[in-house]
Amino acid sequence: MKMLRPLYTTATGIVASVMLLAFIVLAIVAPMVWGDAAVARDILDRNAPTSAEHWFGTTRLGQDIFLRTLVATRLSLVAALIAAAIGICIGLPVGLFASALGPRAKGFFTGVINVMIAFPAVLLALFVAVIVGAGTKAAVIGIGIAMAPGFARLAQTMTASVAKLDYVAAARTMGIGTPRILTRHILPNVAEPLVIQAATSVGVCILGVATMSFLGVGTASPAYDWGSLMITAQKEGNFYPAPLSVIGPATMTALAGIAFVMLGESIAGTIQDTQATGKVNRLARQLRATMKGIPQGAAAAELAAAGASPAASSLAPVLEVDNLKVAFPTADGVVWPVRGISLTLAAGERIGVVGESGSGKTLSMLAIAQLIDYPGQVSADRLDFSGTDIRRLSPAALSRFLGTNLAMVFQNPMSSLNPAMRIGVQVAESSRVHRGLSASEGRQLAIEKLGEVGIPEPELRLRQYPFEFSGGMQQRAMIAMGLTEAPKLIIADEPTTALDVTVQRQILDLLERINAEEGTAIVLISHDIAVVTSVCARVIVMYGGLIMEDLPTDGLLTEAAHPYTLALVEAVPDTHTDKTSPLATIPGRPPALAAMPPGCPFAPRCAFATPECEATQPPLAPSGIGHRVACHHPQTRATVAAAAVARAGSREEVDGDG
Amino acid sequence: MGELAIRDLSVTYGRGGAARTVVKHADLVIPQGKVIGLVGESGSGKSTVARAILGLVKPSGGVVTMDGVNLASLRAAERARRVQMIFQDPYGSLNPRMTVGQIVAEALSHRGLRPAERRAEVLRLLELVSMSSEVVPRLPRRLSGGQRQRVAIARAFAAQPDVIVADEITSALDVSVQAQVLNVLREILASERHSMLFISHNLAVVRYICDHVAVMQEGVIVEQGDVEQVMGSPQHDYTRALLAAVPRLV
Repeated sequence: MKMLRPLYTTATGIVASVMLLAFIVLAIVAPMVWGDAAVARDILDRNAPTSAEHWFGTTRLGQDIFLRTLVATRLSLVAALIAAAIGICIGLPVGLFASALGPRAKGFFTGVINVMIAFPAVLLALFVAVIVGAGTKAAVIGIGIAMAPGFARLAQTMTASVAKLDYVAAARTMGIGTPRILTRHILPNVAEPLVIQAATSVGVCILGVATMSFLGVGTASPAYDWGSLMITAQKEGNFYPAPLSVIGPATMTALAGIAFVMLGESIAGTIQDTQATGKVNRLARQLRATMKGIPQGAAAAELAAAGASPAASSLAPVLEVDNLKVAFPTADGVVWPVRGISLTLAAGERIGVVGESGSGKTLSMLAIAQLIDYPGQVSADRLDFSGTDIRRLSPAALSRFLGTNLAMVFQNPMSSLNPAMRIGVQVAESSRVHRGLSASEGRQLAIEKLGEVGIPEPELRLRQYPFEFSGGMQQRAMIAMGLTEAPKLIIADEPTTALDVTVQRQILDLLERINAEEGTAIVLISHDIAVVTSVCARVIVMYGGLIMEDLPTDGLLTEAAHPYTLALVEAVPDTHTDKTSPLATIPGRPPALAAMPPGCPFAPRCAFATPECEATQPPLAPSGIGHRVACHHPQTRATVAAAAVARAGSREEVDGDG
Repeated sequence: MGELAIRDLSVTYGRGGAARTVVKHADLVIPQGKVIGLVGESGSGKSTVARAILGLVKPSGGVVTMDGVNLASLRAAERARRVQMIFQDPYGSLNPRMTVGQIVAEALSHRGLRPAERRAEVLRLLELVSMSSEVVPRLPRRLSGGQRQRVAIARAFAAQPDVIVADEITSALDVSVQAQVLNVLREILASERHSMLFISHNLAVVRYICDHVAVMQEGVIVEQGDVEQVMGSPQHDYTRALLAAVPRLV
């Protein structure tokens, strides 16, 4: 069982299992070994204080409380387990049943469950116990019933969340009946959280049953559990002569409760895998030591000089990046999603970065923006932002520098905007922090910038919250937020992927307009090569954490030389694609980060790969004006088409494709 | 096999003041063996049309018929043989606890096959989507997005429905993977002669796959016709706007 793996691999899991094992052994063994001794009366030694002979003292009848505490383990645990089982057996079917009902009946059932949950559990348990009568049975039934509403709610919400998923809809469209949908599609996918909840609830039941006995509605003489031991010792005045007579059973109750709760938590994985975290931290420290980015010697002096001269900084490219790498330590070792990319971005330039998911396009741009979170590590031989080596800036200076020079626009504006803040306040926030603007100045700025990005009636809209904006308007607000400090560069990561085509067009037009009017350089990241080429003058194609090709957009159809670029171009249908022939595809799938081939990352999928390609990664070498390509065997559209025709003749198995 | 007809279909969500009519008097015919594209933006009502055909939402007006038989009057199992659906997100549409073999076989359950026939049919269907028998015992999490989507396609064809509804089936995929899925779909449509309603916001993809296209805006079908004709000389402003917004390579 994979689910139980944390029990022997995580610290919490190991502690929980050891404790549980001890309790289980005690529950089995103690009554057999000390069962008689624990009830043996010794009239001469009544209410004895703590002594070497009686660690927890003795009862009014002279019975040893320590032995009684040990023997009570069985009853306490069994009662708790039965109580939990009752809770599950009532709660689970009720929750499942409720989730399978029609909307009106479901509303009624949910209401009933909610009222039951709102009712204090102890009161509910007491109420039930009073009806059932007294004794262990009453406590167990009471606690069990008190646990049921929680299970019902959990089962219902879990089931409802799974029932919304497409595979359940798919099963319905296949005409699969409700019983089979429940057992085959829903239950297996909610079982895990329910099992975890069950383990945790046993812990709660241990406390609950003990509480009932302590309150006098549970186990009573001659039977005894931890709860009744506590109240008896307290009533009989054992606490002062022998404090452990109360503290002992209380501690046992607490430990057993904690053991079950920890069991649930460790299975749930809510407590971090400390071993893995330790390894990741160690790897991160090693990486930081080896990847320290500040260059040494002559290069450093030259860079420092460039950074110091104000004339140089105004003429400097917006971005000069050399050998940028990003590493992520994981529990299974270090992976390198970005493996050394170099690029220069002139002031006011528009470049597009394209590649499939996992190509490293987003991470490399986040690394430039210094947005790689721990434990990720970034290194570069050079990382200059408009002439300033940003690796040398203190954290405060870096935050200020990037805050005023760089704007980031992400794919999902709703998750980038704070849902609880008015749009206007968010747009002006950065300027109020960096320039110390007053509230009214901030408001003016927000009106101005929201107007600039084409939001109608900005003085009204700035009082609204993000949810009152459509997706396109949210993205405009994000861009407005980035524009408040007149940045030199906007990095837009899939800014239109979540938007409709007409809205996408508007956002792309807006980016182009900002570029034309303000001279802001733009980096547009997209998986869609057509989106990129409609805005950018230059395209950078990434694959396997490396730049494969860097070329002017105009040359994409005529000059592109890398087989991967050519394949991407061919794979996208446009409004003139030949309908009678299949689309060009790229066989195979991108390499896994943990198993990057030693040579060209594209070689395993490339029709033109030779042993040389598999052995060595070709350098990104100049090939004509403004064109760089990393390929041992550059191709053209014609040669790729010819190869495709040849391949189609012997149509290979495309299984295992991405 | 037959003709699916949507007549005067309206769908309203909510009740009273919160009611929103997302599909308004839509008429659409999917003739036997034809692939009809349905394009429009998010919120235009195109996915709701799909859900109404599948019986996942109840129409507030109009009917969906197959050869004159009202689909709403059929039992679930009977309807399953008439219409099937392929969903947008291949990560959500496959049960993570079932193997590829079980997923495809479950869709065969109404065809009354013997176990051996069923196994053979599963392999045949996977073959149709260019997957080998190796994937039969695998769980979805071991498959890539494109492979999952191909399993979903195999599952939809497994029930041998008259019509398949494909709802944005490539929009969650990378372009190179999209090409594979489209090729597979094109081949399987050619060999099995099924009818299909192909919903997409990508006009280039719709043009590549479909014979006819219907354009939907705010719950209303504003234009429909032969795909080349609609894209070549669009009559409605909205169609023109959609076409103009398509990003072009260079």
